[in-house]
Amino acid sequence: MTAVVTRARVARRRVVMPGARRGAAVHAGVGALLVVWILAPLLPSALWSVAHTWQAPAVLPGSYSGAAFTVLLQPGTLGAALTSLLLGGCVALVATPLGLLGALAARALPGRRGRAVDLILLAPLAIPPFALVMGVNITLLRLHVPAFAGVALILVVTALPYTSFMFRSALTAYEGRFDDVARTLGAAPPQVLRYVRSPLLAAATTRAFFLAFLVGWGDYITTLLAGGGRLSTLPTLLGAAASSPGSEQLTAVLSLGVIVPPLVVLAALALPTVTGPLSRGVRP
Amino acid sequence: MSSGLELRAVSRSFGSTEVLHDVSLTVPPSRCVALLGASGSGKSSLLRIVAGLDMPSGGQILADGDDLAAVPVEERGMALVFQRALLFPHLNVVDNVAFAARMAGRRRSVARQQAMEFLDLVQLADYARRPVSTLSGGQEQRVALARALARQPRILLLDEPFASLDVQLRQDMYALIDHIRAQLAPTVVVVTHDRQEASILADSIAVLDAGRILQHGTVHQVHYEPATQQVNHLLGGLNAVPGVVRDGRHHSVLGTIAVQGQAEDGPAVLTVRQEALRLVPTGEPGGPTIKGSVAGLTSLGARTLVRVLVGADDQADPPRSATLTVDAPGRPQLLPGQVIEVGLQDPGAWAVPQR
Amino acid sequence: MTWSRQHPAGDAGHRVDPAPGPRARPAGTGAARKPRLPGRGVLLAAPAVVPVVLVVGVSLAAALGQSLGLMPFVGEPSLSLRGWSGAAAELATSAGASASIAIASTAVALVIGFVLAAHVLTAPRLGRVVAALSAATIPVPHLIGAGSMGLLLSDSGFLDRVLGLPDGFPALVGSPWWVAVIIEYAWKESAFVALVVLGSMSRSMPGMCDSAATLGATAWQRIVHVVLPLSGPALAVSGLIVFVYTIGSYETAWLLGPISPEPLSVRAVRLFGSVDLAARPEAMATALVSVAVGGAAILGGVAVLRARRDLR
Repeated sequence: MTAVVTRARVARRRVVMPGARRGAAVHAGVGALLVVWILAPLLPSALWSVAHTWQAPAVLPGSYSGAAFTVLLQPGTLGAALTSLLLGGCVALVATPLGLLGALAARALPGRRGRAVDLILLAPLAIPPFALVMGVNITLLRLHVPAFAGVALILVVTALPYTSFMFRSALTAYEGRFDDVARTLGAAPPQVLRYVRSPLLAAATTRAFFLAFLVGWGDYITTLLAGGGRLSTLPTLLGAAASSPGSEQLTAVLSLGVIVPPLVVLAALALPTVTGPLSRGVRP
Repeated sequence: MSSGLELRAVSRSFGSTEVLHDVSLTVPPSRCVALLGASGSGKSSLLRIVAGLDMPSGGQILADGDDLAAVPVEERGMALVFQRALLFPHLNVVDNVAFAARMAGRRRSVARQQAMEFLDLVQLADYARRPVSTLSGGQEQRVALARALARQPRILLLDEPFASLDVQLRQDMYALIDHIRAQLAPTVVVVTHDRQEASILADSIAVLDAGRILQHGTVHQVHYEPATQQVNHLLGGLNAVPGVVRDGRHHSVLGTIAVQGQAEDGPAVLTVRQEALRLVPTGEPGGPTIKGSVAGLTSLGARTLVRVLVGADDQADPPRSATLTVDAPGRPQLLPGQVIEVGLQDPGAWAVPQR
Repeated sequence: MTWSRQHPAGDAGHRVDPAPGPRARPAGTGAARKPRLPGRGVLLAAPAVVPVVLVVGVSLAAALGQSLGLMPFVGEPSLSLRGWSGAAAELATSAGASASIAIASTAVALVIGFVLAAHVLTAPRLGRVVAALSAATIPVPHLIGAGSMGLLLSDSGFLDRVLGLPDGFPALVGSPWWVAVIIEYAWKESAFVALVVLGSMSRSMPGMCDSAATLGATAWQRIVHVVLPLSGPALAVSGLIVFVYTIGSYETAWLLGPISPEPLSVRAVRLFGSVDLAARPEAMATALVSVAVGGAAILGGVAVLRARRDLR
């Protein structure tokens, strides 16, 4: 981000250069197109969710109401949301520590063994999720693994590449000399772990947890196939709505129900890094 | 609270490469020793070994006479400041400085209160609550210094702590170290590749090259009385004239020049510092001078290096000429080829055995 | 990386070590002198590696077994190649459809993703807005992308209403050219490509653009001759990831694609869910073909990347 900021300053300084005005116009034009590209697909969902009446040729809804959101409060939807929450939580709670262990092992193991651990942990990315579920499904059934546990197990494996990768890059960036400094300042190894390494890995842990949570929270195909229809989550409700004609409003509301909570969490996680210095500054 | 430090025949090998060879060094309490050497001379390795971050392959480290081999890093009571400040990014300025006290089990408020005193010492008390990411390079280094001092180390280790700072900031840091030494009198070992920095900061300089200590002496000694030609070179001596020593006199193309009394007879190189030479206006009465012609001038700003060719400039072997470099004040009005005389100031010439 | 060099046993050393009295412990615990103990590292790796190996291994083995009729849902196992040969032509068509969609989506995602990244790198304030918006779409699942894209692009969808074309709106959703499917993939994955490219850009990028400018390069030349070549590796790697991901993705093709031809994922899931249990071997064969296509892409991509790197 620093690079972007510096760059921004430089660009502003350059405005006086000949031809820069035209360049700025092109920039703004491209930027506007990109904003449209990013937001356009989300706009109909936003409009549909608050539309009261919206007849076919009309560009905008005829009238607005928030009534559609009551769907989210119905017991069936709430139950599905709870299952999604549990699924995301379980996947994150298991995949985050496992990812850390895997990343530490890959770093600790010499040469080829370390690379092998890296490769194995990334392997699930290379396998289509539907293929993974279809293959393992019969074994889960024969072993009488409960639907929720089976889905969670597969999703943990799906999430491990993300969590281990997060920790791997954080560990690579980790400055080993912080350990040295702490030791020379009188920190015993357990204290180094507690006061230096853990806080320095906190950001990566949060990111890994968030990603793993998303894998469980937003999953559709694994829940559908391994859950065998016994598991109802927000995405399975959404899949049913999106594939049946005439349920635009339900699709829109459920879409928002799936994407808004993580975005709120994301914003909450991002905020402290923006305002942190200020709030820390005023604390006694 | 400061301790004496002694290194006895310390060596360190990585595989078949020996980075430190038989290094012995004594640092009396409250003194400051500079380890001076080029990069790769092993000076940082030596500091890591003293701190306990690395173990020697052989030899001993003693603090106040006690062998430190069995003492882990965190219990050695030392503090190490690196070239990069390495402030903990998850702690603000005051909590970085309070780190050692927290590790020692002190309460946060007590640790912070104590840390403030050290921030005061480095004149950054106003920055206590700032995140470390908002500090400038010089401020970071001062906080790193305060953090190390707050440990109240019996030995303070500095590993090129000011190398990344600009000249002005470095001058400020030197003054700060002076201040700290006057206030707290810690034993200091500073590693540097800058002889000027070593001279300003330290009471004595240990010259390190290829893992060996070539000479350990006062600032004056290593400059004017080098143990070897290599020491003379590392300390920026520009004059090295080959010749022979007989009865305390050095004979060379420059003529016969009195050197230190204890110089051994035999082939020897005359090392006379450029700062100890001066240009003598022709005909001025005084001590003995050497006549030569101006071979070139290099400006150092307020001073000028004048290269003077002495003897016949031909291709003879052994050469019948030598170049003397004189560090002269101002900008002498000289033309290439002009004949001038060079006089020798006290302290006089110094001869080192030729290798 | 000093840490890994000096702590061969990694983090475990400190935690697993029973800590004796402080003075009895040798100096520099964990540092330099600790013998290399891969056993400890293996133990550390096990909790993460075992589930992955187990699930992936069992899955692939079971899929192969089922595709060959060796693990029927009911009945006696009997070796048969019908799952593979029974509809070989259909399987090939599906593989072709999957590969075509993936290639087209990857290409569009790479172009737009690069434009996104270049814009963020070179535009002042707007670039930061674009970067934030783009990053915010990363956590949106494809299912939602596809559902929303349906609301936007379908017949009498939002875009149809906004444009109000007199000749009627072209059939984008369910079109034989996979238009809506490709747009959805490109929409989601261009944000990913931009993220990877921006992340890989060294901090020196603005400096290099500035020095190119002082050497007389216009904004366009800076993008083409400095930013583009420097983002080459990031584009290649992210393109490979997008391709493999798209091959394995189901929701978008299912919701926005035509009924026929089916890509591998849609065909496999349809056959898997079929009441006709005899369709199982075919479903497994289809799934394995998708694994093979993805695997081949990865092997080929890595080989090309390696060769390019060796050339340099």
